[in-house]
Amino acid sequence: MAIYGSVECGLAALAPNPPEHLTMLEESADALLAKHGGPDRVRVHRQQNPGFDRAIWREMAEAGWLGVLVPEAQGGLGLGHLELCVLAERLGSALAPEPYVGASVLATSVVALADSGFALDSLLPQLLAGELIPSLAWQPDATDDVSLDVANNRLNGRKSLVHPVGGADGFIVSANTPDGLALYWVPRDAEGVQIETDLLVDGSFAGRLTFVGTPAGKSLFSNSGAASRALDRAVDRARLAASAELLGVMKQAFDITRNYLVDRVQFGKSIASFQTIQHRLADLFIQHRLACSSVLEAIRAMDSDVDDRTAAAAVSAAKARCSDAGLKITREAIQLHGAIGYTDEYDIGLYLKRALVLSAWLGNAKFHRRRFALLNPVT
Amino acid sequence: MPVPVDYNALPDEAFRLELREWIETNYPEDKRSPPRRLLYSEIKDWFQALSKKGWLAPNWPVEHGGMGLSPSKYVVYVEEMERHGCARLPDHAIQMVGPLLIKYGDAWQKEHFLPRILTGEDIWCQGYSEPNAGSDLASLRTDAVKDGDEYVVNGQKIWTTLAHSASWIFMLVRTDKAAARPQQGISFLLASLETKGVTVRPITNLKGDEDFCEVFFDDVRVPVKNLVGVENEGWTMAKALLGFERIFLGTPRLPGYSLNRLQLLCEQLGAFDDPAVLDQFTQHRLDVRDLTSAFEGYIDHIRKGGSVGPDVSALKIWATEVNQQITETMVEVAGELGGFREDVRAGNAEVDVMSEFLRARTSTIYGGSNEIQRGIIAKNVLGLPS
Repeated sequence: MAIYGSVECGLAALAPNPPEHLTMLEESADALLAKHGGPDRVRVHRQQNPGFDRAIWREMAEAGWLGVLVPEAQGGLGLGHLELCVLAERLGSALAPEPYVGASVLATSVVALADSGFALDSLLPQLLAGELIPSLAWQPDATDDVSLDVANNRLNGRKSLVHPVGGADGFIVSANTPDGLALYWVPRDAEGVQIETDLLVDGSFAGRLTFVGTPAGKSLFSNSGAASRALDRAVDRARLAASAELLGVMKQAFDITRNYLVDRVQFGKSIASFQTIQHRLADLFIQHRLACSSVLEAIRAMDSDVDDRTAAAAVSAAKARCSDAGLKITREAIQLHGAIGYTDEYDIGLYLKRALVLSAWLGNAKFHRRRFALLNPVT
Repeated sequence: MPVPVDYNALPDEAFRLELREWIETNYPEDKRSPPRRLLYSEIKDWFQALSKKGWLAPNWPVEHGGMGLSPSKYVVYVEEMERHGCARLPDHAIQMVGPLLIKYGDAWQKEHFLPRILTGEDIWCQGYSEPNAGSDLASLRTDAVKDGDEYVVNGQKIWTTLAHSASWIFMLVRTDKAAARPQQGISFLLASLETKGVTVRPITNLKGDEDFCEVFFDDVRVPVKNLVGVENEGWTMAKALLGFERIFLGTPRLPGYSLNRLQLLCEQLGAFDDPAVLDQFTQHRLDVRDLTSAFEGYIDHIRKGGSVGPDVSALKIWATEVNQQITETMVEVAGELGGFREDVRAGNAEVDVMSEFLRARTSTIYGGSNEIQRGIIAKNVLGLPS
């Protein structure tokens, strides 16, 4: 059923000057994801390790999805943020449990932006091939951060909010050194790595890592300035991609809700004919449309040569809007479904839970509104 | 008459610069961003300057004295006028009567009325709403009964913007009371407000201004030659007049202006020192920013030859409701001065808090109330059942 009549409403449909391959990319993504089943996969993998399907991860690698932004010379697709976001949107729509944004955007971006031979010649090809799944450990624990013991070239300290954690084969760890920030690749089974996990509401996990005398190996970057810039860039790419994933989640939740309301009969008629329902759906439609526009604006900024600050502000604007809109739409979806919406058996709750995780991850709406104001002060 | 120029042949930026320069030179400085609709007498000089330049009717074809602008050039025209804060003219004739007559009028109507619109000789108002026909416009009851070569009109129009500044009214009247559906039996009629039996009574609005009026018709005799198009086909014609211009109901200019006023107020009162106020302000900024992105995306779609769909209602709803929320924050930030009727003195500035707050009340009502707009999205975008 055509949901929007003649009005198209996804990222690909609303993008100005969409490249021809965009529709193909969208369709092949939908086909790949549909082949493996819909939201039921969330139920299969939740509260499990690794929490997703490695065979599907390898298929995603074969399709080139793991290196969308990576230049062709380095084995990637060499495409832009629009293509990245369209893929993330489709993954969100399917509630795919694979850690696409966390591993292939957040972590892989750091490696692709690095300047060491190890990062580019050894690590990156394995990441793009789907042989190794990376995760980025960049946020300190509340009490402690990771620092380098220079004399022994070993890491000590704690990191938190590491996502993915269960399926990660290794971690890119940011550490304080006498020369500033440095980034290291630490295999999961390296000496002195302790992993604890916290269960998230969507059934995935966030990790708390403790490093005790863990060998640091060679820094991925030749200097701390380049490492900091790459880290900032990677985090902003991931924030943008997570916003796009939220777009997919909210749109699918909206469509499910709209169709349910049309089919549901009470008082002898479709409850979608009631004005109170119609006006609420209209408001949710507006929020989705604004969220699309904010993501397209951020894509433009990230793909153009505007300064980093302007691009970062655009990403924060998008993450703020998508976090709020994603939560609003999925919350209202529960209410509009009624009691069936509160059951675990029915799919709509899965969308609310994924929206909760994605909205909080990498900064929620309030965080990003404040970051926007700091990056882009009024006077 | 000025020599017609093919503006569509110019690159957008060249056209923009030409407009900008001319507007800056000719627009009266004291009339920038006025707080209310101006009467013809108040904006006459600018109206006449545009008329002499041949720039009064951007949307009319060149052969009728318009600029014949393509949608993309029209967008540039509106953007430049808005950028400079040009007052909206009494423009019903330019927006509505001209396109109506050009599309449906007969030879005499075109020859007689169109030039007089362009010279400002006739100023028009729009007679659609009635006391019992607002959102449900098709239920209108002002009737026109044919008597020889005249119609006899009886009834009442209301919310007729600037009728007290106008000399003519274009109106929807009922010419067939027995029609099967209310939309049938409605006709388009042009009437001089000088005609015997017409009474115009201005209505004072919440701001204390007189922007709109009631217009009463008591056995008013209107020549049959003033009927536009086919009798009883008025509803179809009125719908056909809804062009892409309605996208401008969702312009970010409206909330953008309020946001600037709120910023000034906050700065002058030192309110940004309060993180709660700064958070609220940032929320408004992002609301306007995302509206602007959505609006420009739509404009881009039109520039490329796309048509305006029912989803354009989303822009109108968001623009006007964000505008209202910003003015509500203005009242809140003003604190105990939030009840002042006149501009609030804050530091070195005077801020039109109440004027903005009250003005914003109308925006969710006019141009199809936001409830009607939500109904349009529900039915025509989302395909929800009746």
